[in-house]
Amino acid sequence: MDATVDDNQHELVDLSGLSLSDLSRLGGSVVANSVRRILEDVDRPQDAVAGWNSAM
Amino acid sequence: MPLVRGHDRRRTPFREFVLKLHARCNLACDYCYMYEMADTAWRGVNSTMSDRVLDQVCRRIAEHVDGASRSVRVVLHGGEPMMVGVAALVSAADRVRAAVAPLTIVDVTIQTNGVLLDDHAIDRLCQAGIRIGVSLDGDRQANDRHRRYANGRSSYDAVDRALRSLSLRPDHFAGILGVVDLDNDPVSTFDNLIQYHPPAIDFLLPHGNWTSPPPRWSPPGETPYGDWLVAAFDRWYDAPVQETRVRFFEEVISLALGGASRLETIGISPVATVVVDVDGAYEQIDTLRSTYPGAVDTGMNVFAHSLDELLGHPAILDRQIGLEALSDDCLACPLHRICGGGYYPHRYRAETGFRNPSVYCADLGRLIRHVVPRVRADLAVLKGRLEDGTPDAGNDASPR
Repeated sequence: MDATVDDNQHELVDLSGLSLSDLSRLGGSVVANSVRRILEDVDRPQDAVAGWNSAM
Repeated sequence: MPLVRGHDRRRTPFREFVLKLHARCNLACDYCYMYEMADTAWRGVNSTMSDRVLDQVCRRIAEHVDGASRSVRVVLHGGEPMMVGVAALVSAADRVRAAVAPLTIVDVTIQTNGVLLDDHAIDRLCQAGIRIGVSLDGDRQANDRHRRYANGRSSYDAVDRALRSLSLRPDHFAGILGVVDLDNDPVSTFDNLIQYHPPAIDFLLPHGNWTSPPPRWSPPGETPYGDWLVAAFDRWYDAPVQETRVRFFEEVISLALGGASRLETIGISPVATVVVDVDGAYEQIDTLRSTYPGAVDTGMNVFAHSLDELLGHPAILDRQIGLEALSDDCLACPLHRICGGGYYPHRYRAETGFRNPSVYCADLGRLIRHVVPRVRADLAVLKGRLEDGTPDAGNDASPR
């Protein structure tokens, strides 16, 4: 299998059409905060690295 | 031992340094990967990190970072790190910070079992800018199933007292780590942990693999851990206003939304963590001790090798190559971009190494297939409201 082929976009959630300002409609809910994180990452991209599991 | 696949490619510098300041623990938790599982190498090492080792660690971190990263993270760990004493913890933090100042900021945290965390210790750690994470599995009954002193005595009262003090210092409270036990009710567990007002919680799956399966693990088709996580997720997700962060669940949602993971247990982001043992040996993440003796060893140490050199170690590279480290079974699965094959130690099988799905594959699938539709439904409702111009808030639309 070619690992570069993204054949599973259907497993992801489509965020198109949403902006940070729209999120005020979701208040402080988990889903709002989660989308906010993604949109902020898009605004301020940085290399994602995985942190250690065994410490907070 | 076979590695998954090693490739020479762009390396991700280390940004998280786990310093094992003390090699012993004052508890005898029966699920501990350090002292109760496959690797017993801890019996042969010194109990504390010497000044000589710590100074060399600081030099190695400074030369590795060299101003290239604005911030790095240092985790004071063990064993039980509080056993070195608060003064030594503060000194370690000060020395690492001085080594990389002024270009790099060091976020120092300690992960402790909490039993030595009295008010004096909390005050000193807070004053030194050290954030504190505590391990607790739930209420007294949940804690006492596993987290006891060697003589069998409960550790709960001491940890409960520490957490109540820590809850009054939210700026210095990193959060609570709990290990999932199927005998503990997930909702009650969440409610018990949230009473301490932690800024973050995480639920760790007990360590196990295909050769040494987790407790009460069942063959694919049954998902007891997935079911547990789903119940905990719903408790967390359904709050009208988010009460705390739950790290693992946040990462699942982030990945489902197309983001990248910031946690090594899920997703395919490169792991940028190195562990330094008390004697200065570089190690891979020490949860690998749950697989086979010597699994964490790199054969490299702070005196003979730079961290740049360590980045070329095949085992370090294997944690940085994303999809290429996954098994063919994982690559054929539509969920792999979210689960990332699951946590690396959980993929181990004695015959084939780490190129396998996680032993928790079915459980992770159960959780992901629950989370994604919930998030998708809530966002669909939001989009509908935007189109209709209907003001509203909340996330109560998604199916349970």
